[in-house]
Amino acid sequence: MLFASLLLFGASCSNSPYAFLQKTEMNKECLRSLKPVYTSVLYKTSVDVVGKHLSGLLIVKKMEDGSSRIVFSNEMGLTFFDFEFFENEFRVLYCIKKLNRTVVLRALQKDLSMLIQSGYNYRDLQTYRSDSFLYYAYLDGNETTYLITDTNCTELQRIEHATKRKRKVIVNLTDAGRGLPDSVYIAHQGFEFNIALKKIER
Amino acid sequence: MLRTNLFVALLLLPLVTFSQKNTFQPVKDEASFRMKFSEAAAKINTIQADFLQEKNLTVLDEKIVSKGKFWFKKLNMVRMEYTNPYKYLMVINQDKMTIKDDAKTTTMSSRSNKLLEYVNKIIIDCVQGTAIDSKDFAVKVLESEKQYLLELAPVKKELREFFSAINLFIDKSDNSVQRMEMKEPNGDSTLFTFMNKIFNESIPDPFFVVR
Repeated sequence: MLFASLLLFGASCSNSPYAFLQKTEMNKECLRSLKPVYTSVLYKTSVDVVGKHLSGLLIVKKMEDGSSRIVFSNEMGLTFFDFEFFENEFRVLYCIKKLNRTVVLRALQKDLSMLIQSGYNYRDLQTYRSDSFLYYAYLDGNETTYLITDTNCTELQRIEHATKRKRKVIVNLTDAGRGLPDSVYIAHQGFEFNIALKKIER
Repeated sequence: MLRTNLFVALLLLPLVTFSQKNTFQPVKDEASFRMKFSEAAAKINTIQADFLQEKNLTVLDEKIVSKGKFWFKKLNMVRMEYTNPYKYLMVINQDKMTIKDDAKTTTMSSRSNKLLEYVNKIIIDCVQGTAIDSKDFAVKVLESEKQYLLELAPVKKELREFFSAINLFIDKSDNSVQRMEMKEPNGDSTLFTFMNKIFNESIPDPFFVVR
């Protein structure tokens, strides 16, 4: 019985896609310095959901009260949604009926809060390392968000959202720098729901 | 003090004159306008123009400006090619709409997509001049010295979800649409301004097919 339990324990540990990480103590402040600083950024956006393709413009704006607004419209100006993020709070200010469903809104909230790094408590982070990256893990119930930087913690390169057993979302960032990244690719694992963002210079 | 006030008043004078010129009042003879407008629209078979699109996000105090080229051919053919600051192509050919962005070309039938059907119909009705007789809108006709203004209030609930009003500014000199303003329920709006218009120059049908 004990042997079987140990076997099962071993199996569940190796099931984790992050089993290769080594726990380590690191300075968490560097991550705070990588939180994007921005006033207003416009992205050309393309969304693929289970065989359907949608494109448009996504504007991300930091408001005077510290909140962030994210508005998505099609290229011809029709607004699809208008979201407000403020620390741990999320509000839907406008959303067309077709998208106004709990599952869709929850997925968009998670994806977009990863983009602007909203609602993360930097004190509660756990830190890990691999050969090539540093992993800052933010635990939220049964799920974890990993903010992944280079080994010197100079640039955020990827964000992953996972349960204990599998990766759910992978966000690849290009040229993150101090502001919002130049391009972003959000890929949901297990089903086709991908969002590609490319910064538009105005 | 009096001198300062006079100076300020003189400075403001051009603005006052300008706004008076653009003040819209109910059209004096609506029946005559409708006839003139329909006659002018009937004579237009094709339009080519440059357009400027300004999306105003009121609460965000943001404006997204894009530019492109516009083609229209009777009946029911429109091509809008965005060139700056992003590339995007939208073609309406009868009841089909094709969209080409950086990633994909997608053709949809408006019969299977209600939103698309509305957008398709609004664009066609506005440029073709049939919006004035459309049952989808309650129409109010106003005029200023140089323009007519058609205030279109959507009647159908499905349309009101997307638009609170559509305003068409029509140039009195040629009775063509100069500006089209789409107002959304959340207070945002998109203004299309059409410039360098060329009328009735031949445009081959395949121009409205995306390959």
